[in-house]
Amino acid sequence: MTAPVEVGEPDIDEALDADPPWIVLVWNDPINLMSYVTYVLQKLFGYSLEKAERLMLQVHNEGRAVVSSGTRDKAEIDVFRLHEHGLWATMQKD
Amino acid sequence: MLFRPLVQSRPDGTFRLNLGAVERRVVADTCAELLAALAEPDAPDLPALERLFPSAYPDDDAADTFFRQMTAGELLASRRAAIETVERTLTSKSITRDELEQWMTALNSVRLALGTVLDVGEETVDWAALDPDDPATQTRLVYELLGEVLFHVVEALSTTVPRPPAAPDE
Repeated sequence: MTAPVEVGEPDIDEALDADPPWIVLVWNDPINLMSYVTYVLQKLFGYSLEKAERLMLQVHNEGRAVVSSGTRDKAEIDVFRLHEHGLWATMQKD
Repeated sequence: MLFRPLVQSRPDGTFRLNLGAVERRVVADTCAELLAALAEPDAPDLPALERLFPSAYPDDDAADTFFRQMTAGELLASRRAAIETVERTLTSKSITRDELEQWMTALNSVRLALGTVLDVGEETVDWAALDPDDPATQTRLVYELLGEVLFHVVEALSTTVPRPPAAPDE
């Protein structure tokens, strides 16, 4: 089986650095518990505890963090799921 | 025992709720209030519920309006379903992981509404500065108690995270 070149699935970290068309941001808010935000990021995106905590702390300390990226359709689904869980998420072209 | 875990995980993957009568009453009353507010025809436009229906495109009104039209119904339905799960399992001794996750999102929805009404900030509440006769103080007590319950729910779920089946989807 020959693997085509340049069709490999990038992992999330690479995708975040690869200048994708749409990014999903989570913004800091004073209501959501820190442990809650961490758990939701783990649950929705399959992130490790370490990665979810890092993103949560970035939201808390810097006011926002990019939590996912990809096509516009994917970003809209991610934003919807974050909204379902009460996180303050927006999306924009990177 | 000084420390009473409000939610305990069990070996069979279910969870035991150890809520007392006060906690149950507060959860029941606030969930009923939120369910009633969500039943209002203009629920997404109510100021108290603005955090429950956030903007996906804050700088693009047309895209924001379209996104809201596409998602508002489903968002409303999932919020109501979560609250209804809480109401249905309020006195259950044992609940599933899915049900506990519904508890988590329902309690968080209630806190988002109460926190918006109270206009809470990042700072810790200064009880000494509050007037015991102010109705907002009672609301704040409820908000803090719900935060305590939610903290225990998240703790129980976080310490029992199932192994992800595969790499994150891309």
